Amino acid sequence: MMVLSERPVTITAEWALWGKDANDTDYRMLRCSAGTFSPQDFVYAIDRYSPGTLDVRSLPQVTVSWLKNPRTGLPTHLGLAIHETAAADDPRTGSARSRFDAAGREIVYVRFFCVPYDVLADREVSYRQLYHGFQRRTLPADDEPIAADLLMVPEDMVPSTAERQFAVQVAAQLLTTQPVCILGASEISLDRRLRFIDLVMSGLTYGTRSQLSAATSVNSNFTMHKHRLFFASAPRDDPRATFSDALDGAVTRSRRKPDVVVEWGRVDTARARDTDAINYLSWEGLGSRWAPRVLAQDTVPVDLKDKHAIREMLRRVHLGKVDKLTVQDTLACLGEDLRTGTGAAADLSRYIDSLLSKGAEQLSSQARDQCMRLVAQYDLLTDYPRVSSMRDRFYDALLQLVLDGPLTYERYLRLLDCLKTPMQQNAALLQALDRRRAEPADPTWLLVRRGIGDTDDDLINALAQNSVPATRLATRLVDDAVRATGSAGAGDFNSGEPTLRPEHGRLIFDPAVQYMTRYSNRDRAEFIRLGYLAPALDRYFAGDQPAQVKRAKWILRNVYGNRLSKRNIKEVLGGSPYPPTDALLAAVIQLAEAHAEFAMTEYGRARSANLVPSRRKRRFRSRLQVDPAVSYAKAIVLAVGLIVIVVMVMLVYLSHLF
Amino acid sequence: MPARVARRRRWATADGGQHRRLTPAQPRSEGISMWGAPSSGKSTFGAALGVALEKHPYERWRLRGVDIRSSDALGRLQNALVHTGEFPVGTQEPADYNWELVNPDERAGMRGLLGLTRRDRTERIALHLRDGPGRFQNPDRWLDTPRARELVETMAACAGFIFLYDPVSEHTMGDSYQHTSALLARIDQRLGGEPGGYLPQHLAVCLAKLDDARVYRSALTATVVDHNYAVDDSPFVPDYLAEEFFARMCRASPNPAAQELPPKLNRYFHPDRIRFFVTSAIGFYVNPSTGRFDPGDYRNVIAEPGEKPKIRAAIRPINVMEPVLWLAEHMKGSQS
Amino acid sequence: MTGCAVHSNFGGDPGTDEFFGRVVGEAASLGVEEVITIAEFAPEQATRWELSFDLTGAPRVTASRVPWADLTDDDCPLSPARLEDHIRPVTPARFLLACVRPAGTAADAPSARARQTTAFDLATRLYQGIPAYHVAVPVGDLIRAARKEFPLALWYRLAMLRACPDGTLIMTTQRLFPPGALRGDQRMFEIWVEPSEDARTAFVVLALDDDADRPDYRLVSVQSAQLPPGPHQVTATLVRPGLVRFDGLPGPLTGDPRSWAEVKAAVPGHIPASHPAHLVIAVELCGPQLQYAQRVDCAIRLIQDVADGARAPIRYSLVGYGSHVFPRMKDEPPIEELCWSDEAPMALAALSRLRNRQALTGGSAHAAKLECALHHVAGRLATGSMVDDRPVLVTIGTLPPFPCAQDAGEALPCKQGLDWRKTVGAMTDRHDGMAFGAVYDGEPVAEAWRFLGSHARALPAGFASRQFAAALGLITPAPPAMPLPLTKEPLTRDGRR
Repeated sequence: MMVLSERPVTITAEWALWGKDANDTDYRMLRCSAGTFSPQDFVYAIDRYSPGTLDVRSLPQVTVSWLKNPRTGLPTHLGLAIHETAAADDPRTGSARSRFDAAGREIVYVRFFCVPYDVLADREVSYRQLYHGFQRRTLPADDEPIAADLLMVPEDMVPSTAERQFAVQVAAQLLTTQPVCILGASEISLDRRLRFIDLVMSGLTYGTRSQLSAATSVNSNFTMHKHRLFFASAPRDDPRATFSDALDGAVTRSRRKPDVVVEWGRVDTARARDTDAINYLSWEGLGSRWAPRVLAQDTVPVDLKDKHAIREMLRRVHLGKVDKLTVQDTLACLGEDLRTGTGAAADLSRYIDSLLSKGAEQLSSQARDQCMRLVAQYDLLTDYPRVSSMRDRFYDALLQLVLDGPLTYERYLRLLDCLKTPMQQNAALLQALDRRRAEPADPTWLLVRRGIGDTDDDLINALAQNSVPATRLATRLVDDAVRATGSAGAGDFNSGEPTLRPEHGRLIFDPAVQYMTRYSNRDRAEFIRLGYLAPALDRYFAGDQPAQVKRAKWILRNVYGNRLSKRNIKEVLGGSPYPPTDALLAAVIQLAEAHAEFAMTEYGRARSANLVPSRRKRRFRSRLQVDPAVSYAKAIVLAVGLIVIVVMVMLVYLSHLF
Repeated sequence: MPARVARRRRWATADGGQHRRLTPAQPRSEGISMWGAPSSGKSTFGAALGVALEKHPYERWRLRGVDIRSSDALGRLQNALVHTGEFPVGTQEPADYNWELVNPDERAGMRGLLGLTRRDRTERIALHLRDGPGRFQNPDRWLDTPRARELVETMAACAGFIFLYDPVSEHTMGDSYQHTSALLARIDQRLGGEPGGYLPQHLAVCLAKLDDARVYRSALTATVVDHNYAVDDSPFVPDYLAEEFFARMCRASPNPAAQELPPKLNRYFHPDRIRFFVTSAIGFYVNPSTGRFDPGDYRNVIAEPGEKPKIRAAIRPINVMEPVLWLAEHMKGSQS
Repeated sequence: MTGCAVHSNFGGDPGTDEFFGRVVGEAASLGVEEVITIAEFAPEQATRWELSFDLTGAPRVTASRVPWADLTDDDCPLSPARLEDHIRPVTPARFLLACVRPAGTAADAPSARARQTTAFDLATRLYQGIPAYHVAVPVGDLIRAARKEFPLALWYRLAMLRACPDGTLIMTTQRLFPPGALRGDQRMFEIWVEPSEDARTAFVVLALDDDADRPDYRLVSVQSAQLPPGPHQVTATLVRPGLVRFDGLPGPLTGDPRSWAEVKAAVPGHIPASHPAHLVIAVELCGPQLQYAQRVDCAIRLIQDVADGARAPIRYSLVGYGSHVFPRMKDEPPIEELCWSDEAPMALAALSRLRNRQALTGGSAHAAKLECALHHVAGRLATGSMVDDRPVLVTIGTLPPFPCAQDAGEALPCKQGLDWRKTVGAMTDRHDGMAFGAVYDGEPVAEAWRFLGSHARALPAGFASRQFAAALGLITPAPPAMPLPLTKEPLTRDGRR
């Protein structure tokens, strides 16, 4: 069980200050804000939920209560009272508070803050957040309500499993409508006590806070106090009291039910016997991480003195399922459980089911991004042994969320970013990816299959089975290589797609080329068009010259056979749109040693072609470099000249005729 | 003067037939409730009770808590008063203490004549002390609140009251009469018409803070002071002069209404059920080296500006035990 | 005095000499009320000269001139009545007539001469038996010359001061010139000039009239000069009656506008005496740090000023005290004796150490154990004083002492039951001349502080340490003005400071 998510919020509260001046002997309202509540309302609330005379050395202490709206009479507000003494120069009221009263006794002040329940419920604010937010705020000098930023309060210590179990039992005891008194917590700090109260209440719906009165410390001798959940040093009802008509008969006189007394940390003292409590304890969500979040969504007010209301609440609680959570929350719970090693297997299963069902729905891109982040944060794609029994569903659910469509290389790369361990080590994930049925023409599919363990032949066969065009992959390889180096590509692929990473290209190069070689009938034109895949070799096998050469040789052999003529060499080195690479040259030389020099010359020529054009080409080019207007004129003149000549020839011819 | 168990019998015989007809009805519980203006010393009185009992040279009474919370509270209060020399913090809400006065029988269980085991004759007197904050008696602001109504309820169900009258705060606030009359009226209304028109409870009126220099000097002027020469020469006011001194102090209040307090009390409580004491929870300072009271240096409170008042030396409660024992014995006596 | 030698510079004219001699003789025997009247007949006018001596024996001369033209009448050029009116003598027995022979020849101004002669003859006829002279020099010149020959009629003395052994100053005189002293007489004597703020020393010449029933001093002249302190050899020369010259002074004598009464009033009653003293300072060590530091600073300033300004040896003692601590289990710092009967440097060193300390805290805020400090001081003074020092107790603090017994106040009584009144009373009885000074700023002022500040009181803020020490008699304020010279060096001075 986790406490309510601590998200930063800003809320406005009405406030009151209760205490004494240096001249007073008696407590009174010193000042308060003007708003919904009058000073009398505050006095009533502070007095009604007073914890009694507290030991000055134990201060500060906190009490939590609720108030009715004076106009409507409905419980609409929650109250938080901080019981404290005044440090000598305490500026928290805007003017220094007196430490002692007229009789020289130390004054115990109460700073009371009153917040609308709806506001708190809407943002699932915890008591601890409320306390820390208002504790440091100075009360204003006028009577305006006070605003505070309730920030995320850092946790010094995560509640232990034992503490959580104890909190569950205490929550169950609250359902008996008897007050619950926790003994033996005198060494526990105020912050931890508040956190425990939050922990207990987070096991019930948020609506139970609407009429809860709780205290971090109560004077046991003040037997008439009205708190429902409180810490004390001794029980107020002594079972051994033999005085039938004793003052403890105040119990019967005030119709107060006897307290349920539990001892801190001892779950056995809090065993429930009440049917409603047992009913509650049978709920499947108890102790799970998702339960508080689901419960927090239920803000219908519940009066813990009213059995009927409690039963209604329990009915709703039992309806509480993981499905009530958002996808992100589910992922978070799942991640937390896996990370901390807590959470039942059933819970994990529930998470996965919920994710599967939710993942089928449309998710906004923002939600998907959040999911990605959560997946990355919790490294959910790692191979967790705890989910081994439901691994396929697990990954399917995750991938469904993370990939908003078929697996593309881009999405594949994004997935890689989510992984902390290399993808290749996670066979199940790869299987799951395979199930996502990426398009076979997409290199991603090959990568996945390769990761799964397919050999080159397997891949080639698979490609063939899927009727993938022979040059498709090879073209992709070359285009990506060329794009990666910055020059324009020859393919028709979207330039927005990421280019293949060298390590990936390396993996699929061989099958792609072999497939092309086998199924393209060794179409030379295609190879020329693709530059004999030299650019791809250069990129994907960068730095590994022998590998490049080896492959280049293989390609050339497949295209030209074992021997290369000068014409072949010329074609290889100068015939493709791409400049030849060193590896290609090396391959050519290895295949045609006799023509090594020629090859080198051609190589040089090819490589410098763009830099230094040839003479013929130069002249031709220079001739072509004419002013268009002039060329038009010239053409017209030429045409006219031709026409004149033709006409003259005809005239001569005709004259000869006659 | 030390209370004597024998007095109970004297009171019982003094009842006579005449009073028996007008004996008021019996309260339902056995508790003792304290009331008094704020800072009149109610909590200190309760805290000093145990010490007072222990300091008594020959009475063997002891105070103990019946349940854990009461014994915890008792221990804490006594420790603060005796060891640290600090006064209790101002009471904010009523505290109910289930205490018990025990007079152990040392020879219980021993074999007596004829070899018979002696019966345990330990005396136990229940003491349910309710220490309520002073403000609840303020009729202007408090008496109508639910909390105060509860207080009135509980008080009405008690068998005995200790009314602490603080002449020091009366001098500045002058509100004792106002508090007391409103409270008694409420209790009377709650109990609704007892036989004889009296309230059924016993009342011990304790004029507090005899150790305060002003109160002591007033006592000297009124020549009501006697000294406990047997022990440490500490002054005290004998019981038979207490009522007179109380009336005198009421007259000295700046509020003339306070003069009406003694007759009002006498009107609400049967003469046999009201008794006056002049008390001091912390007593006078006695120099430890001499062990004797020094009229030139008797203040037992150190009051420094900006600090809480502290008790200077060991407390020597005066007449703290006596009203409680008187009440306890007479409450039991009237119920039996 | 008749027959005394007279000096004459008048060219040996016998008439003039005789007249001159007559004037000097008349003047020498002139009584107090008497006036010598000389009627001078000169060619231009008739002048009536009156010569008398004032109370101090200085000659007074007045002249009244009337031109001849004013003495005419309606019918005659020279009215005898008018002439008589003009030249009538004050004292008939002291009347002289002188006719001044005109300078030049008889041919000059014959009418004036005629009138002069006529008038002189008339006068001689009117006043038969009155000596009449013909003089060659104007009477005024003759009188001026004669004035120098007048002998003194009274004792001329110089006002001085004599210092008694106990420092009291008594007015006395130094004899300068006896009656009959003549011009040029000299007298040498010694004076002592005391250092003073106003370094002008006045030389007041007084004329003593012995003849009266009581000796009566009359002021002759007041002159003053800026003289350095110390002994001076002075020579007084009688220039003429009414004028005495003093030589041998390092500075010039100038006229002093003060009257004799003013000079007398400026004379102090005594030379400030300096006795050895024992300065005991009790400092309160508790309270806010700022006030504590202020107190220590006051003590430092006081000791510094006393050490600088005192003439006699002073011993210094320093006692620090805090407050009683009543709550249980708390320690109470005892009375600290930082130094006793020590020299100033030791005391100042102790104070500077004190300055660096923190003020004591933890004690009662209602009072300080001043009564215990006083008790300690009283005990030490009683046992330790071998020297006949006059004790001076200075208390610097804020809080009043604890009462000896419980009272209406907030403070609990002193743990030892000490009574500050008794202690202060005992000290006053035991030590004569003990002075009490208090530097305090507590409000309201406690009775104890009034006692402890009987002789001097001050606030710590703006503490005027010199005035405070002076009020206690530890130092003298700036030496008073000593307007007159002393006869000799005062005996009570010690060489050392």
